[in-house]
Amino acid sequence: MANDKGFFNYWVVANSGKGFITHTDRRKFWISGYPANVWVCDDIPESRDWGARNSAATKTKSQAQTLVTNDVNTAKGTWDDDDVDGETAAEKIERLGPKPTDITLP
Amino acid sequence: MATYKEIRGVNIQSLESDPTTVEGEVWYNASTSLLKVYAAAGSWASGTNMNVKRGSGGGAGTATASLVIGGIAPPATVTEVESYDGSTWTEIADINTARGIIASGGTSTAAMIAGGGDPTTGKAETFDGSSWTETTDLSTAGKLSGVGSTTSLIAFAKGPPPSATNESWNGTSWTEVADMNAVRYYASGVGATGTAALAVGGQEFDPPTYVANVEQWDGTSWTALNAMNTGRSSLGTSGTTTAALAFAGGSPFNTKGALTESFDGTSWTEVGDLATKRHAVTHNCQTQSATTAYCTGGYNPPTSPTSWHNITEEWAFAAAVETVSFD
Repeated sequence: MANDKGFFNYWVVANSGKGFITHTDRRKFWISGYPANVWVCDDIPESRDWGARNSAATKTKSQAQTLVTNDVNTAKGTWDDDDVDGETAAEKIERLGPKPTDITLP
Repeated sequence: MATYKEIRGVNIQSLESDPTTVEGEVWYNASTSLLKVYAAAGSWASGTNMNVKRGSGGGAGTATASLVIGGIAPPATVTEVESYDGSTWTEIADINTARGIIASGGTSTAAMIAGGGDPTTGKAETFDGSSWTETTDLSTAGKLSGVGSTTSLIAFAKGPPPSATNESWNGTSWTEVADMNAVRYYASGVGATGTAALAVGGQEFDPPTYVANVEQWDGTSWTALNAMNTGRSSLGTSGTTTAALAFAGGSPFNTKGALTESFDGTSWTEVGDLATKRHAVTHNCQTQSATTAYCTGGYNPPTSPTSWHNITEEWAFAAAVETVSFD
């Protein structure tokens, strides 16, 4: 799989369910989903066909990174603000899960 | 370097078009100038999204009739149950007590759940195909994992705090049975009965430490098997004790939540990743197959209430013509 070659497409589109990504797609190109409905694919004709088929909006890497970062920052703020009096750090993680961390797109 | 002929005794055929295929066959397509192979591999594709966004529901059923039971969607837990036939999710009767991170097993018409949280509970319920009925509680309440049926179920990896204790259900009552070798919770189970199961992954409590341990239950005792390649908790599993899949989960979930591993009864091998990294997916053997499985729900990766989703991916293992590429 060519996910380490450094040439990617960046898309924004909501996962529409069955048929959104097919087994044939997965055999032809690498694709990975991120917060804010951002998708990163190998930049090959088959992945561009996938973007067109799903009416995905194309983005630059910088634009896509901004969308992801904003989404994660919102989640971090929500996590920080969600406190219960007397709760330990471990108990907060037990209740909410670990605090969201930054994501860097490939 | 040995040639293909030296290894296989024949040369690679040069053909004008792809032939009728036999698994493992290799050929050169002269019209496209591509080396081809007919190989079996597994992959994840998008499935139909669930009706209710949630994570850590309990799984039960088979590839063509599976259930997602309850789950969590902080700050709430949910009671909804959905059945999936491979193309459509249908809401069916709710469980009586909302909870996620549960022991679960059975079929789409005869299922059982026990334990879960939050708040932690020891309540158990059985499903007869139309409604859920409370039955005998676990001895100790907690979030846990477990697999089996309405007449034979093993509930294990209880917490918090994580423990090695287990309880076995015989259709009438719960009995405390032999402890696991490793303390953990947020594990996932594999198996269709309470006498032949795998406990896969999980985590310790403070600090959260993601474990790769796998143990096999034979109805009497737990035996440590080869560990997964990647430790993880709140993962999904499917299959049997000799052919299983483990997927998603935290370790930490931002970077590892797409990983899938296949178990052949002896060792774990990394196979195709999920398209969406996620944590806290439906757990406990949502189908009894390692070749047809579903990964549903969870979050990726924020933990705000709006981030829980209903995304489904379907695992299929099939042979297809692949182009051989060279880096």
